[in-house]
Amino acid sequence: MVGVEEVRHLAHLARIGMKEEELRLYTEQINEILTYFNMLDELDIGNDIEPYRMSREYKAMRDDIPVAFSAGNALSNAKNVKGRFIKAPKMG
Amino acid sequence: MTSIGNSDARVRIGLEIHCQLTALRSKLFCTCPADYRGKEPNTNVCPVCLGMPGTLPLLNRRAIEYAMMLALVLNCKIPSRITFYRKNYFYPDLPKNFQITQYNAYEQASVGVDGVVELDDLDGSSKTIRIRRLQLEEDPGRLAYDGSIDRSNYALVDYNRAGVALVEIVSEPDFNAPNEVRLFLNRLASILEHLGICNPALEGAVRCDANVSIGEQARVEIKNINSFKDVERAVTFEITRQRSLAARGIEIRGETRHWDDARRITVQARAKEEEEDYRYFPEPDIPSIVISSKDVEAIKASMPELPHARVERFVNVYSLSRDTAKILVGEKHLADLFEASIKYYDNARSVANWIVTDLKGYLERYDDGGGDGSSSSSNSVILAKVTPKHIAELAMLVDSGKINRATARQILQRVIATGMLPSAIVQSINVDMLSNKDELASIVDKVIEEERKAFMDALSNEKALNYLLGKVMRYSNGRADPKLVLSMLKERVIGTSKTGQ
Ligand SMILES: [Zn+2]
Repeated sequence: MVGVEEVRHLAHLARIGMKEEELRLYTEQINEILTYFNMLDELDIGNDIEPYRMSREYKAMRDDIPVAFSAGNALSNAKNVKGRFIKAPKMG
Repeated sequence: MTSIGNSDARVRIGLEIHCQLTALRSKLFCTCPADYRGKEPNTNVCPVCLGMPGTLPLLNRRAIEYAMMLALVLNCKIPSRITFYRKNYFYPDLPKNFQITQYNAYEQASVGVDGVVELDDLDGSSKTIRIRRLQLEEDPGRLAYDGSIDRSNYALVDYNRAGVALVEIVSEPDFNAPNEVRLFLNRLASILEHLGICNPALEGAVRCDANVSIGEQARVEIKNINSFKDVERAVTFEITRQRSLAARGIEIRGETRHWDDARRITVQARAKEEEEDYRYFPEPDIPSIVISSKDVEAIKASMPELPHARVERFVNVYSLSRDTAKILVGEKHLADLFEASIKYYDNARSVANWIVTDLKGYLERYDDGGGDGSSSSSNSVILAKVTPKHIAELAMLVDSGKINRATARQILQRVIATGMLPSAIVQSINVDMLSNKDELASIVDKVIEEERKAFMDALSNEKALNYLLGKVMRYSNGRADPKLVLSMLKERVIGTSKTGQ
């Protein structure tokens, strides 16, 4: 279970501004979601199952061949631009 | 464990070094060209490195190979399975709001772990530096500001660099003095050059963070050191700062500081996230990479000759002294120049001495202190003009007695200015050494005539000969062979004493 302070911290890390009532609302919702995960703990999956993760031989990875992206201007959807730069908030 | 220089066991320094794999042709997870330098902002990007939703990163195989090579040279273990993680944080230079990197908290999953580097200096003392891990990760973009950073109220972002492959090397805090840090970084620069995976002379290709603590005091991180040369300065400054605080009884705070290379001091930086705030989790879009012992053996076999082996070869094959060999190999371009020059003139020791004393001395005088790693930018301009043929000819001209060393140094300057071959310069300025006794005799006689008093002094005091020698050299415009002149002067002195004149 998480408390309001943990959600406030998460909001800060995600740089999302939240009002007190929003924090309370989301804390409640997050806790509800987490209780669903608790159900997974009740599943019987035996003891000898390795956590599954896809793996590949390193030789199967991509060759080092450069191909420049040319399907248009990467900035065309950017709202805040200055010259060819993207404008972003200055971090303090 | 012996220490080097003014080492203090209470001082503990650890390094976190970032090296761009500049020899790669494409970025780490997309096919954008890896060479972002000098391009218009945001023209070297694609949906993958801009972090567009729905795109799939594809790992560059060669990046793993290069990182494995470096891990092997640093005597790291290579796990049989390596994994990428997402490190989550918000910063405008990071288009996805997470960086794809590696993480060893749940398992040893970075390209290299637990390495060791024996640090030995030219005096033969040594110490061991432990390498905690070596990992692959993507470089963020770059921030620029309108005017000064303080007055601008927004940042300008260029993502051309975003996604370029970086190797991060993290050492244990095993350094006890700033000069040990310098030796290590010089060694690393030479290794990178010999492996041919990173050119440390490129701007921004190598960056370093350092952590410094004294005794039981808190640890201070120094970020933002943008050249290997500045690391020693930054660490020295930080040790002095902490010592002077301690001397005044002020407690040292655990904090992050930035290196300000213009003012050459460290300054307090904003508080960064704590490690747990990065919420690392395995990157679901990239499979774990399986590396067999056969793969490791194949990589080992494909590695070029390394600095250590090259020093041995120079000593054994060319009979160079170990010190000379180490100086040459310490800067790969010098070692390469040496090997190319002896193809034109096979007196290896003579060629080596030329490079190590005269050329290197010249480069050090003209070093602009910028650039990085082993050679500065102005040095690379000079080195581009001095070819193996130039070095071979200079050494040959000196060895054959045609010119003396001082003249050869002047010729070197003209070589650098004009790119002409030394033999052509010798002809054009007529600096062939006067080694013909008859030609010299008239000058010697003239000087003795003019400097009668000094000559008489020389009869009882041999030091006065140097004054006469200087005169002869001046009259001959420096072309006289000083050894020959001195012996001629001595002959005259002895002759005069005998006849009792
Ligand atoms: Zn890209």
